[in-house]
Amino acid sequence: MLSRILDSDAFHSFSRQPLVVVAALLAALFVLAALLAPWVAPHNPFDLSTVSLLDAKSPPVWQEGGSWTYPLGTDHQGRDILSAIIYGTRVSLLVALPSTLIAMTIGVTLGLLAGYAGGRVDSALMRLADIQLSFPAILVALLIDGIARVLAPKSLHDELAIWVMILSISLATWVHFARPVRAQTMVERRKDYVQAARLLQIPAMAIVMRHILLNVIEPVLVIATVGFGLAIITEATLSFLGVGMPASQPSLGTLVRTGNDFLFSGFWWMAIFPGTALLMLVMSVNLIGDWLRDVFNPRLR
Amino acid sequence: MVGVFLRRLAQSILVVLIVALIAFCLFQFVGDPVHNMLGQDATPQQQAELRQRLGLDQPTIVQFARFIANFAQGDLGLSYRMGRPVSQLIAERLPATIELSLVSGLFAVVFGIWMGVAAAVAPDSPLSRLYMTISLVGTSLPPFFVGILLIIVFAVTLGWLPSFGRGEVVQIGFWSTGLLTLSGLKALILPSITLGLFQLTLIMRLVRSQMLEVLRSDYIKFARARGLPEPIVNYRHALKNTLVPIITITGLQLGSIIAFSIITETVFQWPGMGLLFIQAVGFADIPIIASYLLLVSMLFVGINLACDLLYHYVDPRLLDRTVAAASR
Repeated sequence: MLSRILDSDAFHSFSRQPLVVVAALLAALFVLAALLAPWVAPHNPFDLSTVSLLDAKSPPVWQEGGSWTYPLGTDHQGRDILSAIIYGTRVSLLVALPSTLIAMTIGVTLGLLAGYAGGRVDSALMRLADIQLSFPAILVALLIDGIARVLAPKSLHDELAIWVMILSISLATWVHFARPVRAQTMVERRKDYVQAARLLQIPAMAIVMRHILLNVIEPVLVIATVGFGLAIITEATLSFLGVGMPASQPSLGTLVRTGNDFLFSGFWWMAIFPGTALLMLVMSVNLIGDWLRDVFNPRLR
Repeated sequence: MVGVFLRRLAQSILVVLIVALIAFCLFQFVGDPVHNMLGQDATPQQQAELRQRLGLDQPTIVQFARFIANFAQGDLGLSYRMGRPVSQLIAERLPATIELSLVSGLFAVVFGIWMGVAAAVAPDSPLSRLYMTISLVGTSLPPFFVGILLIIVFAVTLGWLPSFGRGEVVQIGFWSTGLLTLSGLKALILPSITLGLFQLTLIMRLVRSQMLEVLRSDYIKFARARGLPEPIVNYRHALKNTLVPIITITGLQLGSIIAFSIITETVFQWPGMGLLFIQAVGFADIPIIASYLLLVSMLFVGINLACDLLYHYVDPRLLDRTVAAASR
């Protein structure tokens, strides 16, 4: 198994592109840090007993007044920025990963359904997709987020925030999966192997799930990777606008939002470091997505 | 052609009605606006009066019909928070958003095409690599972070450009423009770059990939063989044939620019519709939220319709296919 992986075309193209290797390592680092946050973070920024206002607004270590206790400085309440970033990455990934998976599940299912069933089901679903695609995902997410907020009681807003975000992002992005899956399903449906399976009276469900799904899955993986990066950005943007994750459970976007208030007071590190972490995370995801696309479809670009 | 147009138009109207319904439902679900506007100490009589004035004592379906009718007449209701007509508030904010969107759209198109052509003509040059790197970073940068970085560098550190507001504006009739004063123009620079960067990278990638295809074709080789100067070959002959998809994508991006202006306006405290909207979201000021959604959806639907028709106009083969699909 291992030797097969090491000998595959994908691995060869992977190891020949140093940038992609770096991106993969960086992404792995982010995921590991997020998973192990309580153990790897130097401080617990949410444990009030260890946070002291006396340490507030301390600059990063290389600036005058900085110390190794807080390598990237502290925020206005004395919380360690590095630890806040590690915990924030955890929140960002906790929103982005399920959103992408849900969007993928909905999109692939409906795409297969529309492509295989055709007819009215197809036109109804694609009309819906058309309508949704004519609005940018961020606006759809903002709208769903707004409605969910209005419906939920005020006292529960902070606790429900993470679910509202997952719901808004997945409902805003399922179309990205449904469209290409539908198109590919329509192509596959006409092929001989599907016709043969139908003649053998294999149930439609089995044909779709066992045969067609496997043949449409490659582009789905590419879309999922790019969509994952987009989900991280969307979450961060909503949080930055103040309609996403609350300050009690900050994601990277929330951290930038908080830091933004202190930009003009010269405490630049409060916004810049979380933002840079966000950029590096999304960029490594995008690089992996680009590489996947090249591997699966060398004709593109 | 007319049939296609009518079908699209019907579909567009349906979309707007759906958004109107969503916007209207917001009114139904949110807590009592009368309570919000008058506060705790109002007498029941005052409350009933305001309720009647806002039309909240009528049946739901009547309220929806009135909502549509009023909207069609430009009456968007009163802002709960500011107690002023929403149409007036939006009219004040509209010029700021339109100017910002147009300038950043222009920035994205001009630089996007220029960089895309340059990157396609010499795909392996260092300049082309630089542009591709910019494009990668540009697509990975969250839009608000671009603004923050620009503010840190050009406003806080260098102090060259303002970091918030529109600068001095000149009032021409109902339109307030920042394009005629130096401070207004200076204030436009950073927000426009922030807003246009993503579109720039998108257009650049598109132009580059389209150009790479076209540059391979025979007529370009002949043009080179005839000894035509490089800029004429690239811009007059090659670019022309890549314009169809670029025009349509760019048109669709105009809608995105208006949606993304919410973010840019928040970062730069730009007094436009986006800022009005996001502040309204914070205060659950439903009339503003609903009006904004409706206006933006109408704008989007209009742009989509125009792009669709433009597409059919430039590429008549598409029309045949649409007609064939519709009659099948």
